[in-house]
Order: sequence, then structure tokens, then C-alpha cells
Amino acid sequence: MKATKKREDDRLTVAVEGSIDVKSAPELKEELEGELEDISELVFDLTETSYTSSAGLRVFLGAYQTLSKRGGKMILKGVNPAFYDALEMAGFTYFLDIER
Amino acid sequence: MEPIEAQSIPFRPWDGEIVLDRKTLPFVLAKKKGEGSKTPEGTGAYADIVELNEDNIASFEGFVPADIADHIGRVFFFGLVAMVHDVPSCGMVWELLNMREHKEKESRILWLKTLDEEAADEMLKRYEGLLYEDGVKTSSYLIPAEPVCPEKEFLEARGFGADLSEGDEIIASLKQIRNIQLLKKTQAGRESRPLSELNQSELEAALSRMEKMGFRGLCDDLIFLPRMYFENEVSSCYVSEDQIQGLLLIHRLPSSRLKIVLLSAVGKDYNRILVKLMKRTMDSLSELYSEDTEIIIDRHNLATLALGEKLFPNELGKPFFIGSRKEKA
Repeated sequence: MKATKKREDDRLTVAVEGSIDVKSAPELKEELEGELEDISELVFDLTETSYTSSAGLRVFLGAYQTLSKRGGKMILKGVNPAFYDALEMAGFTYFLDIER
Repeated sequence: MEPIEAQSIPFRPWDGEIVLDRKTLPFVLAKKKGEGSKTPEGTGAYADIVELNEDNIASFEGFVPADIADHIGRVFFFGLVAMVHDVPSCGMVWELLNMREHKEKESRILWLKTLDEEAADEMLKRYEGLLYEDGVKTSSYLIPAEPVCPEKEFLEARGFGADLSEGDEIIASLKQIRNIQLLKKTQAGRESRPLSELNQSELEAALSRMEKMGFRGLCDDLIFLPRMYFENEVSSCYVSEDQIQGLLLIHRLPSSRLKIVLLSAVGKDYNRILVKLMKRTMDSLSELYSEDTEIIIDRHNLATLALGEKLFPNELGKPFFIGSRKEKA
């Protein structure tokens, strides 16, 4: 897993390459540490993400909680069909801002 | 076994000097049952608050979901229903956590229904009183997230946080599990046996051993659960060198779903033992249940999350709202 961060004013884009599973999710969480304090929008660009498990979703939800408490926004962009289907089947598409 | 004076057992033994164990448990449960009370008449209360117990839970069938009602009667589970004009309008069920450890006591609300706000407030007040008696310092909740969720709004307005989270449970059909390649390649072996082959003292010794090692699965009250709580034919144990080295315990919910409440093994080969236990249980399940039978797997710690990821790489848990607040203890 490789995460590339790009900051534009109060918007942070995190592009993730590879897979986010129980082993790599803590690394992604670490990448976000200290980065969410002064942003109002966080975009996870998952175009190059091959696989996302529950462990990855839990990192996204952690960031979502931090931002939503301050009225901020989180977007999941480039979500692959398999992960989108899993999110939809579980019922997360009601709550998260997702761009395919 | 030493004789026990029933009078000396307090209703809430976790605050006294009496240790809650198998000897004291029957007295505790009997007292808990007797304590189920209603709001006294003439108090001017809007709702009548009923404490749930094994004797009255059946009267709330259809109001309290069956799988939630299934918890009532267990030592650390409690519930209330608020009646308005003799009709149930609000209800809640919670579990007390860390009651047998030297940790801060917590309550976790597992189910909440608030059809009438005034009645719900009276019910919450009774809940707070019960937590105070139990010395509970933190109260949390975990309720299914819906786009419109009045229960979440109710709790949020009363000082609970409200975060979106992924539930720990994933549900797979028996067929899905049987088709996992790892299980297809595995032989259960002679060491994997049905739970029914263990006598009571062997099972108690195994549960105590697991508990001492920190394996309680989903149940803080694991060692107090009656044997028939588990499906004895499909639950499995792994016996090697005259020692029980692994247990896979299944509970059948009223909804007919099966829940894995403990999947633990000890020793250097614990991973291999877990897979063998799964294999034996799934083989025996397929003899007794249809392949559509749903099995609930709870990924309550990192190890089970990793196992879930390996076995069901594309499954996610349902969304839940979670939150907590400090209580007045």
C-alpha cells in the first residue's frame, strides 16, 4: 500500500495504491495522523486501490468521524465496483459521499 | 462443595465481598428474577417502567425483538420496558461489561426503542438509577444505523456521542462457509469432537481454562452459561493429549440464525486447531441444517477481524451508530 497526499488550501487528497487490508490499514491510519486537524474536506482517491477490506473501511470511518464533528466532509473517489457493491450491500452508501 | 447461605448473597455481588462464581450464581439469578419491579402506583409517573426478567419477557413478544429478548435471564443483561396506558411504548436492553474484572464498569445499550419521548425519558431515568446502583461509570450504545434513526437523536440529545461505525458481525450462509477453499482442504481429524462428548466437569474445566487465558469470546458470563445454551452436537472441542485445546461454541438464536460465541484454541498449533474446529462444526451443521442457514461471525478483536478478512474478503459489517457518555456513579 502506498499513500500519496496532496494538500490544496483546506482540502486534502489521499491517493491510495495497492490494497488496504488488516496489515496495511494501520499504515494508512498513521499517514492521516495530524493531517485532519485543519482541513474541511478529505478525499480518498481509490482509483488505484485494488482491494479494500473492513480494516480499510474502519480507517475511512475514523477520518469521517473526525471531520463530521467539525462540519467537514469526506469523499471516497474512484471506488472500484467490488468495494462499492460491498458498501451498498452493507448499507453504507446512505451515509458516505461516494464517487465511482 | 461448601454450603452457601442464600441470605448472604447480595443481588449485585460485584459490589460485595462475595465472588460471583458457579456456586453463588443460582442465588444471584433467583434474586434478580424476584427484583423485576414496576413503577409504584401514586408516584405521578407518566409511564409504568417494567424491569425485564425471565418470567415477564414473553409478554413483550413482538415488541422486544426475539434475538434481543434471548439475552434476558443472563447474569449481566438487563432490560426495561415503558408502558403507557398498558401498552409498551419504549424499551431498552443493555449489557454490563467488566463486572468481574478490576476495570471501570461499563454499560452497553444493545437495543433501544423510543416511540414516546416522555416515557423514554422516564425509562432512561430508571436506567441511570440502576447503573448508579451497579457502580457503572460509562454508558455506551451500539444501534443499527438507519437514514432516519430517532433513537440516535434521542441519545445524542441526552449527552451521548454519535459516530458512524462498522458493526463487528458478518453473516454468511452455511454454503458460503463450506465453500471456503481452506476448509475444503482441511480434515477435521479424530481430535475434533462434538461438544456432547464432553462431560460437565470436562466442559467446566475447559471453559475455566479458556477464561483464565483471556478467551471469553463474546460472553463475559461464559462460565455461567448453561450447557444447553450451546448447540451440543454442532459445537466442537479439540482434545489432544487428554487436554481440551480448543473450543468452538455455537448458540442458536430464536431467529434460527447460529452465532459463534467462542472460537478459541491454545498452544503453538492454535491456528491449525481453529481451522479443524471450523471444519468439524461445518460438517456437522450440514447434516442437521439447510445450506441457507445463516451463521453470525463476530469480529470483536484484531485476530477475528483478520480471520474474517481471510475467510470473507468482500464482506463488510452493517453500519451502526455508536456513542457514549459518563454516568453519575
